[in-house]
Amino acid sequence: MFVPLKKQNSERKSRREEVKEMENAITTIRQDEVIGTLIDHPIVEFYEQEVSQEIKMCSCDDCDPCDYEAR
Amino acid sequence: MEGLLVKLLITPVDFDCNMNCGYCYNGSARRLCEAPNQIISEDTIYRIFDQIVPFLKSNQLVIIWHGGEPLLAGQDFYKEALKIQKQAVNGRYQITNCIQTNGTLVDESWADLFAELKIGPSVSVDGPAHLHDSIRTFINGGSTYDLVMRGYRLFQVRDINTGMLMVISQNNVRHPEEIWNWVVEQQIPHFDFLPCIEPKLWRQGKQKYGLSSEEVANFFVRFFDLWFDYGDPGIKIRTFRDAIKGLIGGRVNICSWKAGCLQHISFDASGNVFPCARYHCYPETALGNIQEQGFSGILESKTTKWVHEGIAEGQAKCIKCKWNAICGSGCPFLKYALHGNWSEQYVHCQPRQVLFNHVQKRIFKQ
Repeated sequence: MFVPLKKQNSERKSRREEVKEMENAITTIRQDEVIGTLIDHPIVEFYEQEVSQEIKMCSCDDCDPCDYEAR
Repeated sequence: MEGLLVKLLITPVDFDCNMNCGYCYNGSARRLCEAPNQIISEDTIYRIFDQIVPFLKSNQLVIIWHGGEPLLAGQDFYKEALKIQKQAVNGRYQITNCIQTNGTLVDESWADLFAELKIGPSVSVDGPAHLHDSIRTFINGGSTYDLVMRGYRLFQVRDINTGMLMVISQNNVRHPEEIWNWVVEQQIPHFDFLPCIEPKLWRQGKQKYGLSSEEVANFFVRFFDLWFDYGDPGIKIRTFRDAIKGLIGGRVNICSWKAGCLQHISFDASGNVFPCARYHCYPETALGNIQEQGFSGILESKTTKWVHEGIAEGQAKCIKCKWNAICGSGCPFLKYALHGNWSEQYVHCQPRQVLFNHVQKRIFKQ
């Protein structure tokens, strides 16, 4: 069926949404490889968030941003 | 190694120290190697930074000033060293300087200098006063706890992000609850543990303060439970952070957990180059001397090839282990110090597996 271009564009996900979905998928895949479902716990949630931000902000390990928090 | 370096370790006063801790490998090394105590020269500092720039992985570099007690080099040394560092890299690199100190020399002026130069400190403390003072003493046997904690507080009141390292030894391994209560009372936000190993005594089966695998495992599991059940993410313990992050697909940061040895290089006060500061008392592992050779020549030396291939082959032996992606095969230095090669199993392999299994059980729904 022919879909007008305007509608195609409006239905299309933004690049940001696509990236977000991809990041979520990566996180889920990585978790599923090892595990199952994480429990609800403040420490687990904290590091879940940190990991998702790492994937988003910095995929390399060049900078060691956390390394001198505790040594 | 070209284009791989992310971290430099420098021991500006070698093994010189104002303390005489019961388990100190530096003390043993000093006796073993009869290394002279000296302060690294400005010329050596300049050569280090001038030479390593082409070998950096990115425009970011971490420098760890280690010891002995690195503050014995004096405040003027660090003012000058960081000036030289800045000149050598000419603003092209973002450098983070960190100092691992015993904390006893830290006064108001030192704390001000750390703040001014943006140096990140980490202080060595082995728990509450009676545990700490029974093993971490001045050379004359005097207690150090009050001075160490004063130094730690001087950093804290200046909002300097301060780490803490605790050596877990026969002295404190049976006191996880007491150490945990102390951490909470003292409001210590960041710290980590180093399980004690005394290589020379281990080889003879006569460790005095060093721990067995079972003792390390029991301590880790008990302390993890105390921390996890308390449930405050504001208290960060590096070992447990990396275990959790590794298990949920994140990045680990501890050097040996990410098989990071080949990205580090270390310099002693004479300009000798080693794979890591822990090798400074093993002269056969010196890769060269920065005052005598260019850095590219050092990286092409037979010793460098021998060390790097040995480490890499040792790490490859763990490739089929289910924990390999998190564990990184353990600290290669300890393999070498205990066995004289990098092929043997990491001495704390079993405690790590126990910890990973335990953390996995705790953080995932069963």
